[in-house]
Amino acid sequence: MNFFNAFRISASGMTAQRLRMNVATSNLANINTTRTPQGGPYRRKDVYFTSQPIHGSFRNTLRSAMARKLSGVKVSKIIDDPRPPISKYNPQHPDADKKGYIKVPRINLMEEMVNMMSATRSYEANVTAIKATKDMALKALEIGR
Amino acid sequence: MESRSLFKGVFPVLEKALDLRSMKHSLIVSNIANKDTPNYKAFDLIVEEELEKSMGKGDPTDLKTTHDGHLCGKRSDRINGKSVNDADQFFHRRDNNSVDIDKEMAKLSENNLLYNALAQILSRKFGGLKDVIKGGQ
Repeated sequence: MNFFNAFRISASGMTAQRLRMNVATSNLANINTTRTPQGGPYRRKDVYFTSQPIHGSFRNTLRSAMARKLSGVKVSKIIDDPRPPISKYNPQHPDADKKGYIKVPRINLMEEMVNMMSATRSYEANVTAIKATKDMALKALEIGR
Repeated sequence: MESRSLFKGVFPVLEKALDLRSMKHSLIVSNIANKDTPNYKAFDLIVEEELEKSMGKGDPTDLKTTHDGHLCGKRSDRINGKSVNDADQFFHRRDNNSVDIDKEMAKLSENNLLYNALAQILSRKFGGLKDVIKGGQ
């Protein structure tokens, strides 16, 4: 049925946006982290979205080219930001090198805030879409009542 | 009245329209979910056009014009521009994504309203038939 596909698509969008939100908050929390289990300072993370075709029933897919255009979202990978860390002069710090410099991750507060706001809005858009889908499905059930 | 013709006329049109509306809804939802996906291109379905294609000419629900002053009731007059894939619009984003979220949300609620209206009309049609069967009691 068409509507279940719509629910599935919106749900995939919400999952992806929530993961994006988690990554942004993780970046914010680690804005001053100089030591990680992998060694070196924390690297800023970013999500990479790809669209993923939603396969309904085989019959539906066969019947219409339109069904093949439906696609949900998937976070295909979480990438490390390639930008190098910032060097700060702080000789008292235990992670400071011989010259007294520490490396802190290059995380821009504004960038992360904008990312978070964008994720929130996209999540809300998906919630609205789910509500609309539910309304329509319920209305269809009322036919002939 | 033959039972065959009981469900003729406007019923098949309504059914088809509901089907197309729900399909359009899926497409819009897909566009909204992919609002942040790089290189995603938005899709749209022009329901009126599809409806006319599948119904052919000489539809019983078309308005007849017997005078020049009559309003034209052909469906094609209500189509405002054809855009199946909105590739012609300029990209204002660096990630080559062509989803315009405002447009999509507007389309979502418009489509939702029209679907509800169609479902209500169909429901009333059945209600009318039921009334006739019961003799208005």
